[in-house]
Amino acid sequence: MEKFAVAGLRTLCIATARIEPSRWEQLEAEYQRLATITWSCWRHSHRGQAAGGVPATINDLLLAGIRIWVLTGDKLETAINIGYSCRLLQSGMEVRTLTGSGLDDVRSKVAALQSWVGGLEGSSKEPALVVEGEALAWAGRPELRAEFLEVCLQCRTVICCRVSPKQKSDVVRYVREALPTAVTLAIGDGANDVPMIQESHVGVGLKGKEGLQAAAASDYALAQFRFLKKLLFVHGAWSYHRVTIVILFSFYKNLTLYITSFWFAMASGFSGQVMFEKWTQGLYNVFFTGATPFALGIFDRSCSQENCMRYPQLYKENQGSGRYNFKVFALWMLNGVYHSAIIFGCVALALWHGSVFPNGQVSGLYYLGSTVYSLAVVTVALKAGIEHTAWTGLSHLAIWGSVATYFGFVALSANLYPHVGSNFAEVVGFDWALFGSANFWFLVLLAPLLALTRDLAWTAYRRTCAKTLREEVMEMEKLQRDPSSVLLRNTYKRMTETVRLLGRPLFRRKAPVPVSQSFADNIDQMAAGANN
Amino acid sequence: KRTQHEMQAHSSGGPPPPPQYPDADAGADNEEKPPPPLRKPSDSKFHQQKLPAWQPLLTARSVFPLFFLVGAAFVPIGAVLFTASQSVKEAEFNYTNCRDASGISCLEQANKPDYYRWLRPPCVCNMSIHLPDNLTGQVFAYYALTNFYQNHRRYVKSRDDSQLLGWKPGSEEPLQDCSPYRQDPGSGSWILPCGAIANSLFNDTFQLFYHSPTAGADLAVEVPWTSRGISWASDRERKFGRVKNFTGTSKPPNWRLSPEQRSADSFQGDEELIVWMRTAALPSFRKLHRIVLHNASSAADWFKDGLPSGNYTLLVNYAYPVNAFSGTKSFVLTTSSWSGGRNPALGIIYMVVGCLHIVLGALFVVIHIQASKNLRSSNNEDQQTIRPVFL
Repeated sequence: MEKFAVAGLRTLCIATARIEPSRWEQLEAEYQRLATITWSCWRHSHRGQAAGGVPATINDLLLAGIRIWVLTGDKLETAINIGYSCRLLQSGMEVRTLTGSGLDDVRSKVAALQSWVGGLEGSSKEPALVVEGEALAWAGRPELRAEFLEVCLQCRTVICCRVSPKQKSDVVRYVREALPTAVTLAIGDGANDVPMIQESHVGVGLKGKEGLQAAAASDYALAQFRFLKKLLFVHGAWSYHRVTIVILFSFYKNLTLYITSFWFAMASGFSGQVMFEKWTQGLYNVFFTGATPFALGIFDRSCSQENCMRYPQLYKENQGSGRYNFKVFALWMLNGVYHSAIIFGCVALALWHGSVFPNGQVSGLYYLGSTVYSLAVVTVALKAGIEHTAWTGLSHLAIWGSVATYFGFVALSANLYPHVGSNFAEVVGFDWALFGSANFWFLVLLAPLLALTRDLAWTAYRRTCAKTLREEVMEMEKLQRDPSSVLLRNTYKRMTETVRLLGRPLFRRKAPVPVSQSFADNIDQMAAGANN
Repeated sequence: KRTQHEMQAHSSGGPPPPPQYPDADAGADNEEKPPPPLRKPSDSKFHQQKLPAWQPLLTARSVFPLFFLVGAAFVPIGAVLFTASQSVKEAEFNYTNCRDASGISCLEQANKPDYYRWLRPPCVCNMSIHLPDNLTGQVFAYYALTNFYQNHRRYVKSRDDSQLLGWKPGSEEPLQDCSPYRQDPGSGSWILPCGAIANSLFNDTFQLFYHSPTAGADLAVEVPWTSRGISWASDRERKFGRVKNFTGTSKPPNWRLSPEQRSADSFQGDEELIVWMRTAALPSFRKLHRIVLHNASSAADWFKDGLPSGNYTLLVNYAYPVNAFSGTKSFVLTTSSWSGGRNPALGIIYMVVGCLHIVLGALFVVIHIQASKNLRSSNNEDQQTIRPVFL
């Protein structure tokens, strides 16, 4: 049995016995259920874990800087074998097991492991830990948890075997508590994985022959393990980029418009007078700037699908809150205030005396407001354009369409009074007054361009002198050059950055390389593959 | 399988036969059954996020031509705007502190309570003004007020647009926003037009006389002008109407003349009121008061081409009090251009931004050259050295 287990097969025992009819009736109901379960286990072992590209996927996840632990209900030998077949455990690693029961026994063993891991620091061998379920129950107790996790987090990988469903979720919880800034993902295919799936930040269930419980309890349901790669590298990366940009842009566009009211308040005695007509103001987020966040959030792509899948290193820039944190948010808000100041300043200076028409007539309060509002709509639309990484046809529609909708609304609203009660009284005749005024068009040309000069200049500078890895890859692709050399150069840098951003010395080493020779092999393989 | 088994149990009554399992090599078996209907999502470009896209690189190389283009366009535009603005000639005369013939300060007179409500002889002051340049072309006369804050919220809301359209007969009450200028305290009748904006109507009147150097010293030619056309056409046609009947209403307390006396077609014909009701955007502002009639027969050919430079006398029926808010009053004579009145701001901003863009363009050329040098050298490096301790 043990030989079969070591070979990676699940073992099935068959035995016979004579049973009394009365006893048989009791067992009858359970018979079917047990048979079904055992049958599915046997089928599963025939399928094998190596099928479906699991080692390749795990390799790519490791390249992306994702740490992988395995929690399984299998026996110790089976678990170790799985680890080797998935290439989580490799020949250059030192593997130790933690077994035992009783608090003192486990405590002493954990202490031994601590010194073992400490001793391996600085050497080229990496520690890997295999923990048995019973020992895990003891090691997870509050008295031992901190030391146990310290050992685990310094290991290249941790494999827990013979764990119950509750223990699986416990392990996820320990990691979450120990690393509050880390994001955890749990993937499993059976009903025993459900607690783990629900405990982690992201739960992925595989729809398998063992049923749909895991899929039903998960955030994402996949059909095969290898689809996890696309889920993370393409959809995960894209979603992070999109959600970030939508949030930042939504706050920015509102600031750009409404802070102009603050500048106006300084000129109107802080009396609270609004310089915009109320319907125009209310429809800002609905009609005039509503489409651009949609275009950004649904269609913008930070990197092409092919590149995301081909170069797992590109995933690293999504880790560690590098793209959405307080500093980024504050800078965007400051940008909105700056734009609003430019818009209001230009209009106020141009309308200083109010006589802007060739026929000598003067403008007024709502004329100033309408001009400011028009400039804000145009500026915000163009800013959305700059923030796009991929301009699809729908982006064009959203951006130019928003501006066109606004001007159409101006033309419409100028003619509605007095047929709609007292509404739109402030903007009577504004279609001719705005569109027929040379002053207005020169302002439309000037203020958005002036406001966005800084944005454009800063983006161009950053993309020339301080490119992120993703931008370099994108540029290489566009120029039809091979990006793998770029990736080689950058991989080492990014890895340590991620470690720093996670705020904890995951790998306490002097040499800045957390992975072994086999990892470099993988890079070479990948480079060789890309070159081919 | 379970249902089959249950049915068999019911029918036979004996111990059930073991369930039938498919073969061990079940893979082949499955492929023989017809595949279940696919629920794959549509493979269109839209659904698979594969829409063709333009991906601008926005590096220094693609951006510096844009900056140069903008700079090259903006500087001439700025120059044109600046020239147009400078071609407008303007003369402003602050008459806040002018005195009447007996030396009484009109400012102090106007400050007295009820001055502007009773038909006390107004303070008439004569100001000698001098136009240094010819104002060639159509000339406009404005009055300018400072520190007035016509954009204050409680002031701006104090009006009733339906009254101004002529839709509210004298018996219908005005909006509450108009208070305290809503109801006449003495008679109890509604004020038409109600509100603080109408009540604070500017009521200085002017006359401008030209003293030609060629004619005699006593000969002063009055400059003919009109108040027709000073207000927006859309205002006249769609925001202000004719009030049929003023009976049963009161004029605003600060008005010397009633609406019917001001214009026969109140309010549509009272263009001064229409101009005043369009509240100004900034605390200090100008409003169009009169348009000079250059071809009027009364002035012969003196003002055919504009207002010639020289000595003028401005006669002001000083009525409007500005002391309470420390404001000033000015009279402005100016021409106009296709870009409006004299305001060099836009032209100057354009020129500055244009220069800024040219500088930025040059800067980015430098950055681009530097970056491509770095790239070339690092590429060479990569090819020559094998990274020693990558690990």
